[in-house]
Amino acid sequence: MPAREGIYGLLAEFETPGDLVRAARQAREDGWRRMDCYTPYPVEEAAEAIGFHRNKVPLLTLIGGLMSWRIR
Amino acid sequence: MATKEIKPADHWVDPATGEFRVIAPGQTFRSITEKISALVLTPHTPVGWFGIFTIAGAGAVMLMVALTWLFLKGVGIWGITQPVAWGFAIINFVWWIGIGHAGTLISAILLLFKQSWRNSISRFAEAMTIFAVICAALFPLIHVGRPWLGYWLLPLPLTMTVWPQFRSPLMWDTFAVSTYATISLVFWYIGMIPDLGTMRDRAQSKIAQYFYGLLSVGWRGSVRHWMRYETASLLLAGLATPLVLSVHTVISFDFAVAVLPGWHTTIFPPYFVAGAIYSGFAMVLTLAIPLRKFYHLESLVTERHIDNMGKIMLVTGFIVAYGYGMEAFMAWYSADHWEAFTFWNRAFGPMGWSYWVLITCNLLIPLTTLWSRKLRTNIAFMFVLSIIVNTGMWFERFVIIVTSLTRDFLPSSWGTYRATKWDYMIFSGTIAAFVFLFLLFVRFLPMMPMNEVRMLLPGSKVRPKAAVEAGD
Repeated sequence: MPAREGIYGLLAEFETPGDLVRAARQAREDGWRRMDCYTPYPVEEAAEAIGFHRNKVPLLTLIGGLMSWRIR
Repeated sequence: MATKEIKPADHWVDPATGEFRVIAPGQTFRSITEKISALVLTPHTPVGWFGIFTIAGAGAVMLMVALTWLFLKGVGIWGITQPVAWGFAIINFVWWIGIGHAGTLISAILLLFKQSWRNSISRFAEAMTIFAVICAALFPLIHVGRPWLGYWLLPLPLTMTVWPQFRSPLMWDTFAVSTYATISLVFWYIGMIPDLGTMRDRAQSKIAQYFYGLLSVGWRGSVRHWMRYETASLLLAGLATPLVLSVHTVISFDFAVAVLPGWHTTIFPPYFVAGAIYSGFAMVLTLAIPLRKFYHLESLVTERHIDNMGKIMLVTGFIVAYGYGMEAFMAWYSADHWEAFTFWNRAFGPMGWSYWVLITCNLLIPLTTLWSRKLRTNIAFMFVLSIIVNTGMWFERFVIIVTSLTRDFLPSSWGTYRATKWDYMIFSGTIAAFVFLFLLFVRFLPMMPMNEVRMLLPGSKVRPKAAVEAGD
């Protein structure tokens, strides 16, 4: 595949989780949406800062539970 | 607790917060990751590991020999007879499954209670649970006499055309133990995924990269991953929490549902659960103390952990003591001739020595010494104590099963019980197999959850919102 012109994205590294969360929150306020944060342990504030509030794990768990009941 | 009156040593207290430290000061994210992952990724396996591995492997081979002879000859090679048709196999089953309970308590209940000190011990405690359940599950299978028909334990109507006896507590055991084994394994693996990702990234050899990569199922450490991981952990903890209480309750029904004096009591479920946690924490100590010494992990598994586990053992030990006391009280209060005789027979009958071993190992020694903080943080003492409690808990099951069975209602049917060498070989063989599996775990998987230990560092906290918004 030929290299595409322009900028793919930006990477930044932060020393502390506080800096990461502040930067993520600012970027979201400035209108950026396709973002992700990478951390070596769970940082809930960072997930909220990029607008990731809910996930589907509870729903999938419920479906799994209901299916096993159905099979039995 | 008397924590406030006693002035602890300086290194125990974090000057910034005034709280007890869970891990020794001076750790960084890098040092924790390097320390834990290097134990696995090093090409130099310690000589001591090979030494213990050889001994445990020989023991596991002995187990295989004993099992082969058992399958060839049948359960007649054991000491079981009339009236004691349940001997070592059931004692060992209850003992092993009880040991597993501490791992689940640490991984599920202490997680829900946000007891962050559990972080550095949770992984190997969960591994202990899984291996203990494997050892436990072996006994009912070999005790059925025809182990190749072990699948009859499962309700398989399509092929069997007969159902198992659903009114039998042995049937309930099948469900309790299989559920417990499943959730323990799933919880252990899900909890390990982020660490397997770290191992994949740090591994040097192609094979290690391949296998850790396969097992880490594409873990990248994104906060989205982390949030799903956290939700899954909480859900699994919520599912596992009732099992900590229910599994040993169901196992106590094996006895409590029977009409035999000494078994037919309502105190059994809570007293069995407390005893399970008591012996489980003793086993965690038996494993943690040599492990931290051998791999120099004193900075991650600290006196704080040993002390806290000592406190849990003190509490559960007293519940167990209440159970023993209530058995004695009910023997008198029920005014039931057979109940009273069974209690007398336990303490002063021909096998009375085993009752006093149990009282000494489970009550007299631990419940008098565990009050002292000095002794709770004395590592050598705690190691010896953990072995004593494990012995005592084994004898508890011996007393319950054997002394009740040897002398029931009819004196003409009384008998005695004597274990054979095959009983001892299979029992010690499961201990060896347990050590064997545990050593493999320690060598090939990260024995502590790196991600959770990282969260114990003060630098891992995001500062309060107000401070973040106000800028520096």
